[in-house]
Amino acid sequence: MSNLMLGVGFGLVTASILALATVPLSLQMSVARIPNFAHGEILTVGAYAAYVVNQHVNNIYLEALAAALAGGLVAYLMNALLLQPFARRKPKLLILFILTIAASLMIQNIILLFFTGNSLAYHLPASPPHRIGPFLLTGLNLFTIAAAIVVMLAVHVLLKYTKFGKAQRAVADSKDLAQVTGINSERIIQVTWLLDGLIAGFAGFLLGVSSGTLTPTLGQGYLLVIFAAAILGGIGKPYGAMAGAVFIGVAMEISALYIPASYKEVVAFGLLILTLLLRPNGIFAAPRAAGAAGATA
Amino acid sequence: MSQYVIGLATTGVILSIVTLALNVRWGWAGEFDIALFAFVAVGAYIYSVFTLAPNNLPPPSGYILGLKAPFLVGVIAAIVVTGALSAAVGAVALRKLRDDYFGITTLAFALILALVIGQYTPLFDGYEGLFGMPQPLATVAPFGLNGGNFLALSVVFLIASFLVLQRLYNSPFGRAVRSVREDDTASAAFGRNVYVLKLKAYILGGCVAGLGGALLAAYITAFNPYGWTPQETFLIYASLFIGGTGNAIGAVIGTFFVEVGVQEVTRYVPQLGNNASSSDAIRLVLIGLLITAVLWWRPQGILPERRARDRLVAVGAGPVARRPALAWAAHFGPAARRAEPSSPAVATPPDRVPAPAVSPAAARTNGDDTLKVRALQPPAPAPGGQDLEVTALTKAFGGVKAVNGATLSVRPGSLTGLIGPNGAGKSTMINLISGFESPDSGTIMFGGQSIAGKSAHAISRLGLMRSFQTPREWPGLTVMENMLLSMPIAGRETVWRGLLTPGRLRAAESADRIRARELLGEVGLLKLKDEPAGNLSGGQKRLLEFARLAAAAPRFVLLDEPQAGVNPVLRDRMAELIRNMVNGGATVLMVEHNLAFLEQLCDHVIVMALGVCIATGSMADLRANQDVVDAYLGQVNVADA
Repeated sequence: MSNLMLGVGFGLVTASILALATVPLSLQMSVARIPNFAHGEILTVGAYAAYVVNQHVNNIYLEALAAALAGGLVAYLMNALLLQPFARRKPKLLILFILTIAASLMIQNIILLFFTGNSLAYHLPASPPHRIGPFLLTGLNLFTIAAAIVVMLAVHVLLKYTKFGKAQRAVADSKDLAQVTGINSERIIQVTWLLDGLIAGFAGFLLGVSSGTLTPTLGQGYLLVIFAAAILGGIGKPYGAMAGAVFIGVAMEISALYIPASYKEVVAFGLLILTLLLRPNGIFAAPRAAGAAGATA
Repeated sequence: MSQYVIGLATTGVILSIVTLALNVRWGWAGEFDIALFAFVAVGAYIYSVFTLAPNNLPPPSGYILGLKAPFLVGVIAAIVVTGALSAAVGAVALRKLRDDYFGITTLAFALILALVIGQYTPLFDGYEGLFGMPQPLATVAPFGLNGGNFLALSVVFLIASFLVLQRLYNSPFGRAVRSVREDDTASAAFGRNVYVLKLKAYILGGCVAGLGGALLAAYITAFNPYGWTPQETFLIYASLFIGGTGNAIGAVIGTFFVEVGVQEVTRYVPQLGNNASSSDAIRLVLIGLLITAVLWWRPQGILPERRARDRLVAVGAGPVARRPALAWAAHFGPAARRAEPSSPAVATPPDRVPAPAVSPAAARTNGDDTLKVRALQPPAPAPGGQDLEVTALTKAFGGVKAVNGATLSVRPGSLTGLIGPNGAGKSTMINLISGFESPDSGTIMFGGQSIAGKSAHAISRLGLMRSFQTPREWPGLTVMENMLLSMPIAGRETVWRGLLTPGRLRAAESADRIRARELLGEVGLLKLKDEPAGNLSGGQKRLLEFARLAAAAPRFVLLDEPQAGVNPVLRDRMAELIRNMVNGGATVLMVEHNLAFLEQLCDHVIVMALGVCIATGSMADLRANQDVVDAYLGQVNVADA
């Protein structure tokens, strides 16, 4: 039982990172509607930016800030230089998907070029575990969970109570309709990408901290887990994404107690496939096939 | 040739086979498969465990089988196993997923497979991998030692796969698969089982990938899970984009360019500092840029997909068949029997003499029983009964009851209109009858047979076909290919026929081509027959749709707003074409908003409002019906319409 609770504790840390990585993807996919294969690379960029700061100063807040800014910049540029020009031509969805794959290839290998393929590590102060209730968590674990809660609340406020959030939901519903009602859809999409990158870059830093080592494939290795959480929670539903992240994170960590830890990703991938097949619109939606033949379209 | 150059050439040749495999999945069928390299790996592993000696590694190392089988047995085993695995993966993933989710699913599958193969050592020795696989002809003089013999063998396999795939690409099967890529809804509307076609393409691609994998294992003589990441699949995609998606020669050129050319060029980039991966990194950044550049400037690739040329194969010396204007269903089904040749409506222009020496139908069956037309033999309607009977049909979308207990019937051979205000449920009704939506409750009887809930392609094959509000053609295929795809399938789209009897298929199809030319001539599109259908104007697409329906010659036609987006000049022509359908023996149910047009054509009109049918009768009757006036006509002044 206490083992199980330890698993739940680790699961909450994993889930916090996962939620921070998933919510921006889900948001972007509902507004800009691009299944972003390079999302993992935004996390990687954040992790490496934090590494650069970490080489000079040992301040977790500065590192987090650098990660967020770098992630935001890369996501913004990816949209502005690559995706938006193509999107203006109204291509098929798959073409945009393929472009994000090309972007992923480029970003990942630019990092490889500058930082080599060797494993790097942050120099962080030792952080001994505390017993908190039934859980055993380090200070960094607590920072991760707290950060996730704060960011999630901020996203909630942004979407629910600001004009931007309202406009964003309008664009998510119909880009063209939003445009004719005076919303600058392109601008909203640009800001969404920026926001996406800020949060995802920060998530990359936490991912780097939790996994201990940085390699250029850090984020890509995590991509399908993020997609699993996003799709499980339902694309475009930030709260669903949080729930999906908690579910996947806890499921992976608990499964690691019973099966070899190296298989825990299989659990996430398996859940992803099951979700896509059974509930492609997420567990909170009615079980209706996504993209069922729309004959009247 | 030096060993080095031979090595490069062998790599290029083997990976070209892999690109051809991707060309089947992505180029023909439009399946965004990210698992491709997983199938290559499976092919490599299967070849290895078939040809290696029995395993005597100390546990936990080890591998299965170890049959010491000859090279060709190993290759065939690799092809069979990857084919079977493709069938299993495709059967699950192709069922109903969106294109991008399909890609993500295949990626998840590939990663699971990589993890399991890496972790579970008794299968293929985990991350250690297998090595020491036999390479055939390696010891045979004079070229064996430097790999020349194996290069020659690989070239033979490349040419063989190329020829087999080209044959299938050009066969009716290949055309049907490409139609699915262009617009799978239209394919289903014309009787194609989209799922089965996609699955067949996926399996075919898997078999070719397995062949590539077997050759790769025999060439490298070692294989482990490290060399196999999604990145490998993306490099193959890059090869295909650059070479030309859908073009097999382009695929080979693209592969040599990406996998050999770019690789060799970046090898000479000096290493940056102590970064051992710098040249790899530069190469992959370059390839990312290349993919982007190609998609921006030349999305069709260096060699674009070739447009199918329409040419006739001589079928005997008979004259070209000529038939009366759009003689509906002259050779098919009970409709033909109903439509008396002397019917005054089928006005035979004097310059067109029917029944020539060799009619297309005769040519089709000429000396070849296997190709006899078996399509479209729907059950005859019960005598005196209705052709189509819909009873208490309901369909809800969330809380909206689009069709709410609607009942209607259509007499055989009639031209019936279906009208109603926006949101009355007309389009949903059409979708339900044609199988594009399945009803929540109620019955749909067609010719005495229940069709409620049947799939669209099955209903289409029974002889009930539909048009769409916006015409749905297969835009990337030529007008002629669009016509041929609309003809009865007649068992021609089987893989083995495409492979073994292409000549017979072409001869059998000549009759269809002749018929298609006639029909295109009737609607004035003959000159455009070799143009991609996507290049036609809106009105031309509508005319093509009518020609396609005439080619399909169904017993029952559902027209969904045939007038939408058509200019007034074309309207009279459309009216004539619709009348011809009915005169040819077809039953027509038509949704239309233009009441004047309906009044001019229809003897019988059904009115829907709020999901139910509220009245039927002639337009004059309906005008007198207060319910109808309230529900619908009240909004429109009939006199002005």
